[in-house]
Amino acid sequence: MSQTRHWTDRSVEDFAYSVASDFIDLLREEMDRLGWSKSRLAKAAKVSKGRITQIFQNPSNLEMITMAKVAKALRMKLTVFPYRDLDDPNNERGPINSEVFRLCWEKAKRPADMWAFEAQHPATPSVVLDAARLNDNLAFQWDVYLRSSGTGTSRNQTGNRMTRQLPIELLDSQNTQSGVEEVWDA
Amino acid sequence: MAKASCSITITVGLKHARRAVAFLSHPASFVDGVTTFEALSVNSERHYRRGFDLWLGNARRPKRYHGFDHSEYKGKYTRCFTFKNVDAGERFYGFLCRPKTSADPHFEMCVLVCYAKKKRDETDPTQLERAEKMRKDPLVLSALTDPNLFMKGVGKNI
Repeated sequence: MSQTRHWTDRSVEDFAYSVASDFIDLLREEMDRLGWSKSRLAKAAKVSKGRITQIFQNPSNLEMITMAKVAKALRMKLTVFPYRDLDDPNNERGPINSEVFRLCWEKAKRPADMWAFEAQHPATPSVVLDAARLNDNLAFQWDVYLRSSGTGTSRNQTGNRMTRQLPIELLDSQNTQSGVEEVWDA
Repeated sequence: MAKASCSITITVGLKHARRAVAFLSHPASFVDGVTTFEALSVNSERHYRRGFDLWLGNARRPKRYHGFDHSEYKGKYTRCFTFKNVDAGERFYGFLCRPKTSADPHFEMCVLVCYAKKKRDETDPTQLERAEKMRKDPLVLSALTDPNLFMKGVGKNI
C-alpha cells in the first residue's frame, strides 16, 4: 500500500476525482455558509436532487455544465485552468488544492483582470534609465568633443543645454525621451 | 501458529516534509483500519485519499477530518484524529504522533487504527478509546521507532 507515486497518477478517473472533489468541498463550504441543503441547491440550479447527491458522492463524473449550474445557483464564479507544476513534474504530490489558488487570488486583492493585477504587482525593473540624466551625459560628452575639436562653445547664447545641438538621431532615440524610461525583465 | 505481529505502513506522505498518514496492523481484534481501507469501494478510497492529501497540505476541512480538543470528552482524546466520509457515514479513527523525535521533531503522523460505519454524526467514544489505547501500546511505540518505516514506508513486523 505504500507508494511514492501519487494516487492521482493511477488513472485519469482518479485525477478527475481529486480535482472535482475540491470543487465539491468549496461548494459544500458555501452551502454551509448559506444554510442550504442539497434539495435547495438542486432547486436553485434546476438539477435533479438525485444528480446533486450523485455528484457529491462521486464527483469524478461531474460535467462542466453541471458545475456551472450549481456554481451559478450559489452566486459563485468558476474558473478551470491547467497549469504546469514545475516543482513536481512527475506528479508525486498530486494536484494543488484549488483553495490555494483561491486564497492567492484573495491575497492579491481579487484582481479582475491583468490590468488590475499588474497595477498591484508591478514587475521588478532590472535597469532603470533616467532619460534626463542620460541626456545630460550625452550633452557633456558632446561638449567635450566640441572643446577638444575647437569647433565651438558648449552652450548657446541663451544658456540652453547642448542637447539642443545633439545630432537628431540621438534625440530621436527612445532613451533620450523626456521622463523616465524603464526596462523590464522579459 | 504464527505469532500475530504489529507493523505500521505509511500510505501517504513518505516524502512529505511535514506530515504523513499511516495504517496500523496489530493483533488486537478491533484494529481493522488497514483491512477496511484496502477493501473500500473505488470512490470511497478516493475520498479518503483526497482527504489525506488535504490534511498533508494543512487545509482546513472539518467535514473531512478533525481532531478532538480539550472541551470534548474531558480532554481525554486530544491526540486522537478522525478522517470521515460524511455522505457514506464512515469514519477512520487514529492518533497523531511525532515519530521522528530527534531528526525532525515537528514531523507529524496520523496512524489510523479502526473503522466505524454509522448513521449518527456524533463520534463514538469507544472508537476513540481504541485509538488512544493503541497510541500508548508498547508494540506500537516500538513500531514507530523502526527506521525502515521512513525509508521504505513499511515498518518491520514487531
